[in-house]
Amino acid sequence: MTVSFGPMEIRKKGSNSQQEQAACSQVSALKIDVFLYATLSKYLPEGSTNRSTTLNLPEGAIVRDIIEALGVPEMSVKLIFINGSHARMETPLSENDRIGLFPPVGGG
Amino acid sequence: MNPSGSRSALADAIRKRAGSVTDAAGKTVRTISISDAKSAASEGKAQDIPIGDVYCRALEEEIWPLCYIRNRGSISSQEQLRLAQSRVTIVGAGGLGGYVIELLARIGIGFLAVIDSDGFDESNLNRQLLSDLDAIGRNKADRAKQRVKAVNPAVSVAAHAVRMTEENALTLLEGCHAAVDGLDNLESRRLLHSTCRLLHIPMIHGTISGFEGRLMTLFPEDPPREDLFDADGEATAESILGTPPLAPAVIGSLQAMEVIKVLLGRGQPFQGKMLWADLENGLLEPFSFSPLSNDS
Repeated sequence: MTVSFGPMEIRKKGSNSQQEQAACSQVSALKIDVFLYATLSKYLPEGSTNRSTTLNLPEGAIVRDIIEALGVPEMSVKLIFINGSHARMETPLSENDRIGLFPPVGGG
Repeated sequence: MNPSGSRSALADAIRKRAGSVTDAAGKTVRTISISDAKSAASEGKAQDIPIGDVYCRALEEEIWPLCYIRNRGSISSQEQLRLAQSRVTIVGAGGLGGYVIELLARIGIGFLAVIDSDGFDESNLNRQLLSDLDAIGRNKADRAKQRVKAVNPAVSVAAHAVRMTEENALTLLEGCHAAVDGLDNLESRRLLHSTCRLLHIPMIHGTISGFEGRLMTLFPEDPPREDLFDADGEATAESILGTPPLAPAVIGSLQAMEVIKVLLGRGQPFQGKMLWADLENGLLEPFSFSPLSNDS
């Protein structure tokens, strides 16, 4: 399932004026596949399957924009991977990236 | 008798008792049963030689202990000997640890140290292999020792009914060739990680929550991976999703396989990459960390 979060949904510092918002809405969108594991899967939109969802985010978006769009508390995300490689909250996203997010896990 | 004479006498006693089987390729393989190994161990001795030593001597002669004959084909006699001469420490003998201990005993690791201060309770019965109704209230490390002795008396077990702490961790882990994470909390894992790095021991990390789990082998030469063990006050996933019995069996098996890879220098350990297993959705996915630095 695809959920679109247009540029307006992404909080941009200093983009409060109508002019800036208009500029922001014109940037091209990135299609990002997000996979949420273990307890994080509860933040997937209803109807999501295979523990993933697809987001449309503006050019220049970073990992933190994903968790803000989905309402995942930042403290709950302990490991981040982009296309299977370790990443950080500030890592910029590219078209068709696959993002995996993991909470803390400690059972044995 | 001098040591070489004693070795030679033991080899003679083993050869005299060896039987044989024919494998699928028509090759004759010499074998020794446990009763014959025990008999060889006591021949002309005031004190019996440990059965594990008899098996090692037999393997040097390419005589297979019958209990390992079905390892043959995937493991050479020299590799079986190497396993028999290896020392592995398992920290935690619960869900993961129980499976790891069982598998390492059956494949024939020579020495297992098991560390666990807890006793079994009823809530362990859904997943912890070493638990049963008779074991309720009994210490998990002691129970592991009893179980291994019943399965494979050639494996020596040191049961440490203590909690691993900063004070005792170095002493408990020193001298082992690999350490297995069978722990149930992140704080103890951080301690195991740092202790293994100090002692230059590979740590076989595993953890589970719900129908999911992960695995990673942390080599001492790799960048530290504290971020695997950071909860930062957050509830860990298993406290919410519980711990049904499937993930411990799968991750425990994968951990035992990592031990074998590490000890024999074979295959592709999960070094620098974390394997995530999602059993419910049928996913097994590797996730890579940068090999150059701690990139967190």
